[in-house]
Amino acid sequence: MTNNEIRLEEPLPEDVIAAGRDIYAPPGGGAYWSILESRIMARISDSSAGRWWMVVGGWARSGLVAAAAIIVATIVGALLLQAHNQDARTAYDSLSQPTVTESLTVPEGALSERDGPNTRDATFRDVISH
Amino acid sequence: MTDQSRNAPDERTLTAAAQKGDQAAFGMLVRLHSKRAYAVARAIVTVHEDAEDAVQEAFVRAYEALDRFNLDQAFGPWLNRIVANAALDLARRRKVRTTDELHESLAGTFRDPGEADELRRRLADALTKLPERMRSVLVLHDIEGFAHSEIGTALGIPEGTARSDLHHARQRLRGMLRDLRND
Repeated sequence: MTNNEIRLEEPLPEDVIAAGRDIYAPPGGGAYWSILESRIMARISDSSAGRWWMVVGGWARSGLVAAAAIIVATIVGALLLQAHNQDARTAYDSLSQPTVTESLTVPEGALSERDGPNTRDATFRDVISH
Repeated sequence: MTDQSRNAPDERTLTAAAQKGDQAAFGMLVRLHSKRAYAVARAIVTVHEDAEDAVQEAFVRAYEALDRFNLDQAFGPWLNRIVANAALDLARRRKVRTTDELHESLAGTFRDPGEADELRRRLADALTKLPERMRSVLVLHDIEGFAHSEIGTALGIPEGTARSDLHHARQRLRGMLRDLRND
């Protein structure tokens, strides 16, 4: 090992180190650390609050999606129900209204077992023609 | 050992509690590590206000990254790495700072300008002329008392590189202060 290498291993002189500590000392002395710690914890609290709102915001977004899905499902359900009711009403109306053949009143005795098919057809045509 | 230190929870317990969202536990970690965190930041950014910003930013980053912290490792070196990264980020944003401004900021740390002697003025001037990493290593080792391994971990460089940087920094500093030392 050369003298130069030995010299490089040597620490800086004490007065230089002391001057360096003076240069790099934070202002405010001992009280400074309490202030710095308070500032750090205030930022941590802000950060935590921000994260809390982000979580709530996430919940809110999920809630909005769920609410929208419920609204869409309700509307679709209502439309389906309405369509179903409409079909039921139409079916009921079709059953309750008399058909053309049912509305025809055939005079009693106009058709009898004794009449043959030709007679009954002739009678039917005669009734319809009126 | 005092009663207080006997009753104080160890760092692992504090870190585990902080990981579960215990801010008071994290506050105790801040109290334990803020001085060394400041030293790391200050060695890199030089200016007090920037070091303070870097330390605050680093603790917030550490808090947010706690869930990724492995409890089997020590909290201090992990934190110092985050501090160094925050300080380096800040230093990169402050690259526009001229050497004169840097010197002024170092000289401005003298609590009483009347006491600022020639050695401090010359040392402050010499420190601004060192490359950033060399200055950081020298300040952390010779002024703040960090070990080479701690410096290597904090700055993300091999321990050997930290040793080499320290030697070159001392050599340059001695050269710049030679005439003063011969007075």
